[in-house]
Amino acid sequence: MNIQKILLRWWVLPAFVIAIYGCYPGGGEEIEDFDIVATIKKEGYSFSPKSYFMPDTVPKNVPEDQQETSDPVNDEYQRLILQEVERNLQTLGYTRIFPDDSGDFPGGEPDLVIVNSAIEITNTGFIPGYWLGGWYPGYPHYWGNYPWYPWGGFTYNYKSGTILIDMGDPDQEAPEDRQMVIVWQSGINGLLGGDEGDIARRISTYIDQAFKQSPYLSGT
Amino acid sequence: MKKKIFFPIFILSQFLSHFSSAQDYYSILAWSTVYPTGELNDFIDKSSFRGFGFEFGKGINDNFAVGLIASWNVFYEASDYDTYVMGNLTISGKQYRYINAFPIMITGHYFISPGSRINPYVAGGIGTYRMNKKTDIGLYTSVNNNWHFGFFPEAGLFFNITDDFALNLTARYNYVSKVSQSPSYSYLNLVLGFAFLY
Repeated sequence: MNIQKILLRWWVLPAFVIAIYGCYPGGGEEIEDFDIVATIKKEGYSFSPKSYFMPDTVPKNVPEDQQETSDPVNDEYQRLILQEVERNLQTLGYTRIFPDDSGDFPGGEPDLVIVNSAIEITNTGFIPGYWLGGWYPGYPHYWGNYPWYPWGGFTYNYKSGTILIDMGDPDQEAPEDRQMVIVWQSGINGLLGGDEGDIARRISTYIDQAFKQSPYLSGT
Repeated sequence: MKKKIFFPIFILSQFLSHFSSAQDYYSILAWSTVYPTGELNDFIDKSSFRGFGFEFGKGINDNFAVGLIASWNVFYEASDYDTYVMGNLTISGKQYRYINAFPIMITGHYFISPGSRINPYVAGGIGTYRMNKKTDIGLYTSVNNNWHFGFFPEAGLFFNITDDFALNLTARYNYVSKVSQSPSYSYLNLVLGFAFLY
C-alpha cells in the first residue's frame, strides 16, 4: 500500500465534506417566517357572546427590577392592539362596556374581562468558531457584536416580542393564588424587527388570526 | 528485554506487511442522495441531494470484501404558514423540519464479475444510525435525537477507469428500527462514488 498515494487521495474527503455541508438548509430567512400565533381554551368552558370590560392600555410585562427602566409599549401599537381586539370581538357578537367615573358599571357587571399585555425579550448567545453541526439557524439577520476570539466565533443578540390576550371569567371560581380564571388566551410571538409599518401590519394580521383560529368563541 | 521489544515489533511488521499487498484495500468517497419512504415520508416527503459517505474496506478474495461505512444525509422540508390543532391548543406558523441521518455500518460485498471493466455487486450492511430529528416553528424548536439499530441491502456496480480508480454507482435501502422515543425510518440512497483501490 502506497501511503503517499493514500494521503494524496484522502484530502478530497474534507473538501467534499465542506462542499456538501455548505449546502445545509437554513430554515427561515424573513422576519415573518418566525411569527407564530398560539391560542388555548379552557377545557369544557362554554363560550358565547357576552359583555366584557377591557382596560385601555397595553402594559409591558417586565421583571420587577426592570419596571422603572423599561420603556412602555409604543402608544401607536397599544392603540392598534386594542382596536383590533375590540373589532374582532364585536364581529363575534361581544359587547364592550365601560365603567363610570366612580369605577362602577351602570348597566351591570361585565361577564368577561379582556386583558392585553406585551413582553419583550432580548436573546443573546455565542456561536464558536468551530462548526457544531448547523443547529443554530434562523436568526442571521440580527447578529450583534463581533468580538475577537482567538478561535473565531461571534455573539448574537436579537429581540423577540409577545402580545398576550387573556380572556377571564370573574364568575368562575379561581384558585386561592389566582384572581381570575383565564378561559381563553392568545399569544402572538415573533422577532422584533422591520419598520413600524411592518410591525403594525403584523400585529393586525396576527390578532385577526388569533380570532380566526378560535371559531368556538362565537358559541357556535 | 530484547524479547519484550522484539515480539510486538514482529506482530506489527506482520500487520504492516498486509498493506503491501497490491490492490486489496479500497476506499470510496461518495455523494449520496436520499428519498424518504415509510414513516419518514410522513414527516418529510421531499428528497434531498445533500449528503456524503465514506467507506473503507478490504478484499477477502476476488468476490468478497468487507468494510466500514459512515455517511451523512439531511432531509429538509419547509411548510407554508398553516394551523395545527392539538387538543385545546392551536398554533399557526411556518414549520421547518429536519432529519439528519448518520449511519455507521459494517458492510459486506459480493462481486459478480471481478476483473471486468464493469463489476456489478450486491452488498449488505448492519450497524447503527444516529437520527437527529428537529422541528422549528416560530422561535421554538422541538428536538428528538436517538441511536437506532439498522441495516441495508444494496446493489451497485464499479466501473473501472484505471487499475486503481473506479466509479461506483449504488442503490441502497436503509431500514432504521424503532426505539422507545422514536419511530422507525426507512429511506433509499442513490449514490455516486469515487473508488480508490490500493
